[in-house]
Amino acid sequence: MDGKEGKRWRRELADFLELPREIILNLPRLTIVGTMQCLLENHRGVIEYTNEMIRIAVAEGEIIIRGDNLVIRTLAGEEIAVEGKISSLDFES
Amino acid sequence: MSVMAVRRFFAGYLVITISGAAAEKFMNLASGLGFPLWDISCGGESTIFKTGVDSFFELAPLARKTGCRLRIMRKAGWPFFYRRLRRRRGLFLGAGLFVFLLYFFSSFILFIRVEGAETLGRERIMAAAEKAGLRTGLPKSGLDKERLAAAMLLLEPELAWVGINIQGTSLVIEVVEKSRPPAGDERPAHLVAARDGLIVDLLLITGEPRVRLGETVRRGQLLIEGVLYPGTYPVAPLAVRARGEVWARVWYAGYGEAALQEPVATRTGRREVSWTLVADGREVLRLGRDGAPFRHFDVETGKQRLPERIAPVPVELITSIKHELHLRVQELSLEQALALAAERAREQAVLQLPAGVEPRHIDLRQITTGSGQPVRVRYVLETLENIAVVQEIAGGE
Repeated sequence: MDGKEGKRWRRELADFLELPREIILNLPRLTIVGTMQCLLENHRGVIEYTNEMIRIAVAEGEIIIRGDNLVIRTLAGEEIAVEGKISSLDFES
Repeated sequence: MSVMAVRRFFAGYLVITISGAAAEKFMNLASGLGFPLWDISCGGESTIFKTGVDSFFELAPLARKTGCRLRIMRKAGWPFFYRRLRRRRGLFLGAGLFVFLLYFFSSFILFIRVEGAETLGRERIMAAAEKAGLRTGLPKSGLDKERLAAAMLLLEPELAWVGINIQGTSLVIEVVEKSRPPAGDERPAHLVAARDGLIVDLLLITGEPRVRLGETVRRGQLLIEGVLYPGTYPVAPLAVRARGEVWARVWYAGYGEAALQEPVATRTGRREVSWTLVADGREVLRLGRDGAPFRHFDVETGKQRLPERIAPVPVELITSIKHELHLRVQELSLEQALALAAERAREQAVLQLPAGVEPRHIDLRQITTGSGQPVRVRYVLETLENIAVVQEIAGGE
């Protein structure tokens, strides 16, 4: 209960102060360039990695990137850049 | 190449394959601990990634912990390249030597080219160049191009200008040859009068004068004889080419007349156009009315020729325009008639004037006639000209 209450309070705070929600709410931020590049910030780690699929853990679940020849161009603390032929993006919680 | 990639190259990096079930776990751990991984790709059983050199020793225990095996596939970047270079000193030296030799040999003149030699020929110019101290194998630096060009000019009198340029390893000698006037004609000749005149000045260079100042000469009269007389020596006279200038006053007369009642023709504006196509000198086609369409008319014709590269035989289109004329008689006052006659006389006189000669004096004289007769005018232009022209002596003297 506390988590839910806290979350609402934080969202309202973010709205009120016009702060980026992903920072306040600890949400992933996705930037997609066409179907060839996907930059994901604020992730929690790679769950599974193959050429056709990358599963990345985020705050509330995971993001699944599917495609061909997927390559992780950079993998740093909070940031992951995926390149290749991206065919789909799924959010699962 | 990004700044990041340049930095990675100079810092050196490793290409590593990781095998084991928990490769993802290893990667998460590594990146979480601040060891950057990049260019991660999946190659069947194993995963390949790149990481910094310093990270590797820290990563090895992580791999052991996660049950993965790391294997270095390739060491890349400047530090490794440099080490290889140091080990293979010969290669390095060879590359350096190559660059040095390239530079060294390109600092010499290896080829000499001559441009602009038309009648003299390359050999003669090259000979002059060699005498001036120019040859292949000279170093490019320290070459005094201007001094060499000047020396070549002195050595080869047939050259008017020499320019020396260096293009890479070749030296280009650009020359301009002297263009001499054709050799003077030395065949014996007289100078004779080109036209009637009164001699006012005589400049004798070679020959024997046969006229005196103030003398009136006729056209074709001998002015300077192309013969040298030996004076008192008992030698046969020598035929030479007479040279000199004979300046004379020359008159050109024109005659014009104008009646007090002059017929004047003016174009009415009506006209008839006809076209004739002539091919190879023969009339092929005629368009338009033939003959005389008007009682009085004048004809204006124009020709257009087809370029010979188009037609195999000369093809001409002749356009003739016949303008109708209206004739009437114009009454002229004495002054008008006089002016008209003078203009006609002037035209006639000016027509005879040789090109480039300016009249010095103009004399206009009315020839007296009875009343009712046309007005008559004589127009005389006086010029001062060199009337001497060459006349070859047939077969010598």
